[in-house]
Amino acid sequence: MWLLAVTVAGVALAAPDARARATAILAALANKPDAARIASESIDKANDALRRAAQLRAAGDQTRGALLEETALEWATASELLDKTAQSEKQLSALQTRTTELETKVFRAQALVEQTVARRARAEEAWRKLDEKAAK
Amino acid sequence: MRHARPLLVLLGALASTACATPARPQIMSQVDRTRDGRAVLDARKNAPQAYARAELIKQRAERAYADGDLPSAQILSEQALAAYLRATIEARQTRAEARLAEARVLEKSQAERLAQLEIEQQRLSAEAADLELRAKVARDAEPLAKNEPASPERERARREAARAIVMQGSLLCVAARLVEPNRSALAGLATKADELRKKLDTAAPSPIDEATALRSDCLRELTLARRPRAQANPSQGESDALLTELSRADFLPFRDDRGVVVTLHAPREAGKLGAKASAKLADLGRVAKAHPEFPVLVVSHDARAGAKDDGLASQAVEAMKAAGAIRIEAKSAGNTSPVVPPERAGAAARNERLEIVFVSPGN
Repeated sequence: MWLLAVTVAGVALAAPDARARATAILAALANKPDAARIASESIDKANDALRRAAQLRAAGDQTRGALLEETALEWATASELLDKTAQSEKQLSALQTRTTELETKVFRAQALVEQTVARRARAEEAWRKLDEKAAK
Repeated sequence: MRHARPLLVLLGALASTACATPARPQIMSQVDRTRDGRAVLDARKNAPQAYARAELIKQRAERAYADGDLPSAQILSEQALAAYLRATIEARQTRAEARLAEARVLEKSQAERLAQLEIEQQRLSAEAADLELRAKVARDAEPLAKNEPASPERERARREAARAIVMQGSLLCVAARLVEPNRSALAGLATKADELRKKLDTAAPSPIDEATALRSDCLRELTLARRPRAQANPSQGESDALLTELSRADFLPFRDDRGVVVTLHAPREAGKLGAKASAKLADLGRVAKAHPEFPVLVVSHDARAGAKDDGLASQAVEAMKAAGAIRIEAKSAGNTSPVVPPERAGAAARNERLEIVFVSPGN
């Protein structure tokens, strides 16, 4: 009996926290158009779980209401992470584009250096010949 | 006894029906399928903590189902689905971050390599330009085939060419003096240039060979005056930077042996320096102020035959000084160096000009 009371109290204390955290995450995601688009499915599931949790609590089923709030938090956290991952992947793509451009520039610069080495060698040879001719 | 067996079968069937667990909710099968999917298997390796968490939630769902608590089993299964999804996203995030770190390292190394190559290119280009100039000086110094007396028409053309070459030589010597004011050979070359000019005003055969030798000597002096700075910092590329800056400011600059040159056409208005030219000179004066390492030589070119120096170059120098130019000198080239033959239509407008030469101090 004591165990049941402690468990129920624990759930009752933890549950509002899960709801508040889920609600805060969803509110933050709602302000990001990209996130709302990328994670729309899991965001919908989180909102649906919150709605069902409220219904269960209203019907007096606090335990399962709390479980659904934790489920909502799980979906909301997954949505948040999905948004973050999409941003990292976007950043990666941009960085890879920049790196490819840099590689092309390095390739061209390398070719230019080789051309200039040849130009320098030709100029040195021409000057050396003229110098030798002048010395005679 | 005959009726005992069917009774036992019936009792057994009743007992098994009473103990049977309820049908497994569909969502639990969905969890099983998700758990066996490739993405979750990957998450098991790359996001082990998130995967373990999802497994715990799944176990809680299984316990609730075994206890006959179907609503809780369904809710926990849904939670497990979300947790498995989270684990797969965490694995994706881990991979993306690892690749991002690799790409950053690659980008840094490529940027460093590019910077090294650009420095290397500047150094090599400067060395090549120096060697090419030395070769040019050596080639110019080679003894030329002596020009024999020619027909009067040809002699006239030679005289005009000799005047232009003497002027080019003088301007190169002035540039050398601006780079190294105490260069000893320059005084002798200036005297020689004066002598050649006087000779060109006489009826004597035009001294074209001596004029060519003078230009060659002046170019050599300018090269020697530049050498210490070029050798001290071969990759400086300061002329390239100035050329780029002036190009961006729409001055249409170009390079010649003296340095970076900007030409202002039709600089005169009512016989003196015009307002439009003055404004441009003020801009160029500010450029000269920002690049004090470049001495400036202002050369006026007149279109009128036999015209005397009317002080246009000096007025231009004053305009640039007012804007902050410090090391600056004026020189009048008269009509010795036309851009197009003076007899051609519209030649005057093109031949009358001011040249603002930012003398390259090094390479």
